[in-house]
Amino acid sequence: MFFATLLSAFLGWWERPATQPKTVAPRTTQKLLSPSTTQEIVNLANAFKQTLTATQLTTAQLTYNLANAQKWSNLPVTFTPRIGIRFGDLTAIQLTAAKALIRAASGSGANEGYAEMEQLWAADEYLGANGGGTAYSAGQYYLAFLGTPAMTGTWELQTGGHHLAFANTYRDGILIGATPSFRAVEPFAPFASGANTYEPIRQERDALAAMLTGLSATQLATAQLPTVFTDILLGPGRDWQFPTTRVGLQVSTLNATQKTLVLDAIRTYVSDIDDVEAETIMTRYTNQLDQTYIAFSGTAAITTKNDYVRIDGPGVWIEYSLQGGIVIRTANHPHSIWRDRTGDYGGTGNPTSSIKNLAETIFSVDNYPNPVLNQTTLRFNLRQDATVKITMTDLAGREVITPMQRKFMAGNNVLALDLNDLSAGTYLYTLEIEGANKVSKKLFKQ
Amino acid sequence: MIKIKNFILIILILQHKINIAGFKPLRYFIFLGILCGTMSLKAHPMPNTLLQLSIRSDYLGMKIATPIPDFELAFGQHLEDFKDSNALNAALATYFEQHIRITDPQKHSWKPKWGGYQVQETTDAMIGKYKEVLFELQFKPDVPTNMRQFTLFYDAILHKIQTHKALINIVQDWDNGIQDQTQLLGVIEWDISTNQILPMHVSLENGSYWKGFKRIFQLGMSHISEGTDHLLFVLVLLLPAPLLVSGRKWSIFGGIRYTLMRLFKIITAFTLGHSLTLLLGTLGWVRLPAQPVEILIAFSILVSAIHAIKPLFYGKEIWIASGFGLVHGLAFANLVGKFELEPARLMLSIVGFNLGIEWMQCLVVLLFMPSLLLWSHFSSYSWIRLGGAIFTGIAAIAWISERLFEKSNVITILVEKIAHYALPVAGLLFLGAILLQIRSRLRLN
Repeated sequence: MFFATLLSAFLGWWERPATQPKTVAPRTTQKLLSPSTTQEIVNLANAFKQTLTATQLTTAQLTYNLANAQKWSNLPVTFTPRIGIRFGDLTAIQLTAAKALIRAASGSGANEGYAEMEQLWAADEYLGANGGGTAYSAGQYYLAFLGTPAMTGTWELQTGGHHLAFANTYRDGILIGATPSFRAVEPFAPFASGANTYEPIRQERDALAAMLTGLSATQLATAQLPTVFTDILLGPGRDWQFPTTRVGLQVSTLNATQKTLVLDAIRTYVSDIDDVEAETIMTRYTNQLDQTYIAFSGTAAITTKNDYVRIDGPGVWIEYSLQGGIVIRTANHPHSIWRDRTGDYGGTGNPTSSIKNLAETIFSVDNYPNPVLNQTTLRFNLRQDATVKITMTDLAGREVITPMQRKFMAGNNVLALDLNDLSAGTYLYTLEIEGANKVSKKLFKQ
Repeated sequence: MIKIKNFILIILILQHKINIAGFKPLRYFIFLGILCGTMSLKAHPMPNTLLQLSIRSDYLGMKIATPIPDFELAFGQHLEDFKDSNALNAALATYFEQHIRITDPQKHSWKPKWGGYQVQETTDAMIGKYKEVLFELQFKPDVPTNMRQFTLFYDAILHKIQTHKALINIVQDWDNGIQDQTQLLGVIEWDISTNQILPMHVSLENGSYWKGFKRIFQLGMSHISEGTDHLLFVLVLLLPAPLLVSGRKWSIFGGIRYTLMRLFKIITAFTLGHSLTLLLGTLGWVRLPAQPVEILIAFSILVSAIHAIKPLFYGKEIWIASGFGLVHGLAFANLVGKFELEPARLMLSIVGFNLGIEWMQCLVVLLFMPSLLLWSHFSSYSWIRLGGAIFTGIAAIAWISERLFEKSNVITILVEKIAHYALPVAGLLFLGAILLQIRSRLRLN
C-alpha cells in the first residue's frame, strides 16, 4: 500500500518522460490554473439552454435513464440515430454556447479533449467531401442533457456523433462517471481542415504502440492474445460485459519505464475530460496500475488491419482496434473506447449492484421479434436444467395457447413459437419453474 | 424472380368480413423490415455469418453463409490454394466437423454429412459488394428422434475471430408454418464476461400437417393478392366476359346465364392449366428458369388486355386460358419447388397452395363481377372495359420491359401504387353500376 502510494507520487512527478513520441504535444497546464468546476459546467449548460427555443429545448433536455444513456454508437448517425439536439439545427449563437459548454467539460491539452473533438468534427467534414456524402459532417453531431443540469441530482452531459461519444455523469455536483468514451477516426492520415492539418487518434495509437514496443520479447509473448479482433469488444450496446478474468500481461511485472508508458497510454484517453477531473481519475488508475493487464493481438506496431490493444484494470478498460476503411477503402481506420469497470454511466445499470438476479433460475427472458407478426422466438437463460412451464394469457388472464411443459437445459435457450392464430393485441407470457421462480413478460401481436 | 411484394386493401378488409384466419402478407414485409433494421443497428462493418436451419422429418439441413476473408482467416488457408477440389472438400468437411456439433437432449450427437460449398457475390448495405462462401451440411440422428429439440455447439470462425457472430435462423419448418420466411432464433457469439462461446439450446413448438397446410394455403392466397400481375390478369379476363361479339367487335350484354357460363369455363380452364404445371414443376418434371416464365406471364397479360379491347380469340377462350394457366403454374412451381420437401408434405403443399390461389381468385371474381354484370347493360360499359384493358396493357408492357432488363421502371412502380386502391376502385365501380341501374329504372317508370 505504502509502495503504491509512493509509486503514484513518483509517477505523478515523472509525468512526461523523455522517451515520449514527438507527435504527442506537451500538455498545457494553463487550464489547471482555472479549472472548470461543476458549477461552471452547470452554468454553461443553463446558458446554452437559455438560447434554445421551447421546441429545441424538448429535443435537448431528456430524462436521465440507462436507455437514453446507452444511445451512442460508432456508426454514422444515418444508420443509428442519436438523441439530443443536432449541431446542424443550431444557430451560430446557440452553437457557440454549446461548444463553450463542451469545452469546459473536456480537456485542454493539445490533440486531446476539446481539441480532439474539433478534429473529429473536421474529420467528418472531410469524409463528407471525399465520398462519404451527407451522412458525414460537423453538423451531424448531437448534444443532449439526460436529467436537468444542476448541482443536485443525477444528470449526464452526452455529446457525440459518428466517431465520437462523450458521456459525463454528475451526481450532486460531483463527476461520478466520464465513460463510456468512444473515439475513432476516418481518415486515419493527416488531413487538412482550413489552415490546419489534423491527425486525431494518432496520439493514442503512438502511445499504445510505445507501450507495446517497450516490452521484451518474452513480455510480448505473454501479452499476445490467440484470437483475432476485427473491432473493439465492448462497443455500443455492450455495457457491463467486462470479462471476469483479465488476460495478457500484468503491469506489476513491468519495470518503471514500461509502467510509465502504460500510464501515458491511459492518459491519452483520460485527458479527454476536464484537466482537474482527469488528474483525479489518473491517480485512481495509477494506484490500480499493478492489478492492470495489457494485451494485444496482431502486431505491436499497431499499423496492420486487425491489430488490437487492450488495457484492463480494476477500473480502467481501454480497447483500440485497427480495421479496414469504410469511406476511404485504401486505408485502415481505428476504433477505440475508454470504459470504467465501475464508473460507466456513473454506475447506472451495473449488474453487480443488483444481485437479486443470481437467486433466479430463469433469467434474461425476452422474445424476438416483438411486436410479433406470425412467429416469435422466446429467449431465456437457465442456471441449471429445469422443467419450465410456459403459458400465455391475454390481459384478462385467459389462456390463449395450450400451456407447454418441457425440460430445458442450462444455458442459452431459444424456443420458436407460431402465434399466427392470435388476434392483434397485448399478451402476457410466463415462464415458470414450479416451486421456484416465475418470470412474466409482455408480448404484442400486430 | 421478380417478386411483387405489394399489398392490396381488399384482403385486409375481406379477411375480417369473411373471417379468413390470420392472412397477413403485410406482416411478412414488416417482419423483414424489422429484421433488417435491427440487424443493421448492430451491424459490424464486415457482415457476420448467417446460419440457416431447415427442420426436416429425419435430418437437420444447415447452410452457412460467411464472408470469405473472415472464413479464410479462421480456416488458416486460402480456398484458391487448393488445386484439388476433393482435397478442399475433405478439408472443409473436417473443419466444420471440428467446429459444429449438434446433440439431442439425451446428449447423442447427430451425424454430420458434408454437402459442398459455393462462392458467390453478395451485397451489404454498409460495405457494398463482397464475396461470401456458402457451405451446406446435414445432421442426421443415428436413431429416429424428436427433431424439434437440440443443442447447437458452434464455434466455426468464432474460435479465431473473437468479434465475429453467427446469426441463427430457421428458414424451413414446414409443420410449424415456416415456409417462405425466416425466423431469427438468436445469435451465437463470445460471451465476453466469461470469455467463452456458449451453446444454443433450440426448442421448436410442435407443428402439424394441418398447421403447415394452413400456412401454404395462405401463401397461395397472398401470391394472388400481393402479385399485382396475377390480379390484373384475372380482372382483364373478366372484363369482356359479359359481352357478345358482333362483327369482330365486343357488342352488347349477353345475359347473366351467358356471362356465368363463360366465366365458369375461363376460370376452370385457367385453373386446370396452372394446377397441371404446378404439379409437374414442383415434382421437378418440368422446370423453367424464373425470368422467361415471368416474361411469358407479362406477355399473357398483354394478350388478354388486347383481347378485352378487341376479340382476338372469342370462343376459344378455354384454350387460351388453359394455355396461360400452364405458364402461370410454372411460376407457382418455382416458388413451391424451392422448399425441397419430401413426398407427403410436397403433395400437401401443391394442394394447399393451389387451393389458396383458387380461393383468392374466387374472392376477386366475387368482388368485381356484380359491378361488371350490372354495368355491362349500358353502353358506357365500353369505357370501363377499354379503360381497364388499356391500363392493364400498359402495365403488361412495363412488366415485360422490367423483366427483360431486370430493372423496375416508373410505370411498374406506379402500377404497384395504384394497386393499393383496388378496393376503393371496386367500390366506385359498384356504386356507379347501382346509380346507372336506378337511373334507368326511373326513366322506365
